[in-house]
Amino acid sequence: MEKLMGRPVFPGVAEGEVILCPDSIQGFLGIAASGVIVEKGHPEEGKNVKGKILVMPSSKGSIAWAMSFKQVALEGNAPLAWAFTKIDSKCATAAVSLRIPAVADFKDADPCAVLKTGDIIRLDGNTGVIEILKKA
Amino acid sequence: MKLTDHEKQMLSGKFGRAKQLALQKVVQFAEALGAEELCPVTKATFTVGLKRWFFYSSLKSYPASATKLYLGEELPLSFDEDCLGMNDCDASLDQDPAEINQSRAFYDRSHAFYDDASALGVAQASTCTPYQAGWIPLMGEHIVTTESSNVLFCNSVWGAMVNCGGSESTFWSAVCGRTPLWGNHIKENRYGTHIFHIKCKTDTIHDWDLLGHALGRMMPTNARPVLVGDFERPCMEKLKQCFAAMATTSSAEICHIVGVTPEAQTLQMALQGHEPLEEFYVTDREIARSQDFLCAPGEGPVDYVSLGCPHMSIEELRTAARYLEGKKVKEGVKLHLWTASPVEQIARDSGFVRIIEEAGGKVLTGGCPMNTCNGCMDPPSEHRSCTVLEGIVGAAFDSAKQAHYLKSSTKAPLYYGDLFKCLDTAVSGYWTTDKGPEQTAFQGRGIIPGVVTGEALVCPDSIQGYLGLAANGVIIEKGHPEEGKSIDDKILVMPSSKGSIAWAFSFKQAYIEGHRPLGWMFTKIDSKCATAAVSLGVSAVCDFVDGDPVEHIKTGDLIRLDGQTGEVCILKRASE
Repeated sequence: MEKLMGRPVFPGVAEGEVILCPDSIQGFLGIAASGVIVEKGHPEEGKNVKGKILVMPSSKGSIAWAMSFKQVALEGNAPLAWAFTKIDSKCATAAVSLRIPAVADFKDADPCAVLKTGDIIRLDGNTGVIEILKKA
Repeated sequence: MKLTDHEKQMLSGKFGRAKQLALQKVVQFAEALGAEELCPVTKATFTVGLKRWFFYSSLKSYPASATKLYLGEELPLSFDEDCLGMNDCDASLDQDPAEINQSRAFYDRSHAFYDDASALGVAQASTCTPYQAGWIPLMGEHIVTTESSNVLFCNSVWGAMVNCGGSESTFWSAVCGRTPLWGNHIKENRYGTHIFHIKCKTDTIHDWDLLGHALGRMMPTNARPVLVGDFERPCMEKLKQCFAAMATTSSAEICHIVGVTPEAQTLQMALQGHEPLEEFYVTDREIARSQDFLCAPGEGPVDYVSLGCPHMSIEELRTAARYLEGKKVKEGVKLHLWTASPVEQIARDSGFVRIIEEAGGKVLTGGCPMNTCNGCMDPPSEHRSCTVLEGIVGAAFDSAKQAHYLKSSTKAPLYYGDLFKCLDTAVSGYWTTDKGPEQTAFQGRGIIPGVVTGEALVCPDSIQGYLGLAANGVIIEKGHPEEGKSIDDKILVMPSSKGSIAWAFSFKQAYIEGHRPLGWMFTKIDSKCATAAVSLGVSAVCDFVDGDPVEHIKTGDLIRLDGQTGEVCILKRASE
């Protein structure tokens, strides 16, 4: 079974389907409170992040990144977990604020290069390990 | 995690539940980042008024809402005694809510929150530019803020230390007085990564606003840009605009400007011994792209004009007042000039506000168009409402940040220009386009470096080299439109080479005799003209991507050619 080794960011274990955002998601005005990605030209525009595992390089755009996702969570539409290739202060704020499993700072392989939308993975926020259970 | 005794006591709950939870969150935040210790924070700016997300709380009071939302429990609240908190730019502060189409209920509720926060020691300037209100962190000081342009300004200009984070992390820090010692809080992490050579116009505040927008578009995620070039030393207003625009199109948190910002007195100092990852050239063409993106095409009626994002400085208010003196804003047009309340007070005491009001404008404080809303009073919708733009037919802004973000908030055309253009529009009620040459700049590929300015000699069918150009530099090709003219000190504009393999050598012979062009432009390179360009070594640009210069440039036009960046500008038309 293929594994990706990252650093644990927020504890908890999640199993679910990946939404890959190779250029992140613009938080501010890029994600609606319903969980739908509304950023113009985003490869996954129109998809809902609810119950999915988001895989992205880091945050993008305005300082309102974490609060944009917080509103998604307050509406009950939070993603299941997230993986960031490299942590930054905006996604770390979001990880702590949303309290969902998170992994970041991958050393050997970049999850954005390895994973695809629709892959089923197991993300362990306690150990930092991602296992690929089923390829899309 | 290394914690001090004071921090351990706070975590144990000795200073109350709110501080305990806030520090717990900061420790989790530090662990999420991979930080090993915390640092004390002495200044914070954050939103106190009713942002949309307060809808999810009870709205009983500011402490009840903020603690529930950011800490997870409704708790009594106090902020860290050693950290000066100030209210960030908000929905409204002191203006009549009707002026920005806000409900009285929202206004009243918001003001109750301001009063609650004041009672807890939060200073009420309600500004994105707290440094205009006495909130000035010094070099090396650790701070937190929820305003991204303020992150850039404080890191870059003051040399203070701050990461972006978010509303939650800023609140936690303001309560417990700590933030993770990570990222920009560590001196060794602040070195520049990407060099930007500034080759575009940088004369006005508006130029710097556009420059910030263009820089942000060009830079990779998490870049720490270093600006170099022979531009004039920018003033505070120029940097304020540049950083707000840059924070709109990028996630930059620090921007070194060689010779200007304190950690970049030299390029070596800015790079701290690291090799730059990449170098970029910012040309007038890039600036034109940002202008095209930000301003609606064509002309049209305008009934809303907004100046000041970030909040206007006293100097900008003085400029606006002087320009408006004796003029009248057209009936039915709203003109808003946004600033921080202490600046407004100075402008009022100085008579600037009176002049602006007599002309029909209004100086507003504490907010900006983007932040106008009825916030928590309605359930959050898919799209952020912007009450001040409700029902408008057209709007004009002098800020790239406002023009950029507000596109999605209204169907009305949004125009973007400098302060003077916006004030003219407020007076006429109509946005006009500047009638200039249709295309004044061309982007090609630079092949031989060097910047030259000179007269164009356009050869739509090239020049026959062999037997078409004499050794004295005169065009002798029969029937050539420029037959009899000398190539001396001209910028030759041609599609490519023509005729014999002796093309390059024909030019070389003239060169040896002391006759040479000042520069060349080839619509599309070929091996003969490339040989000539290298052989003569005069500045050259080829392979134009957006428009054929042979079609647009006329013999006699004054042009500037940059053989490094590949940019060509028409400075003056021969016909003018």
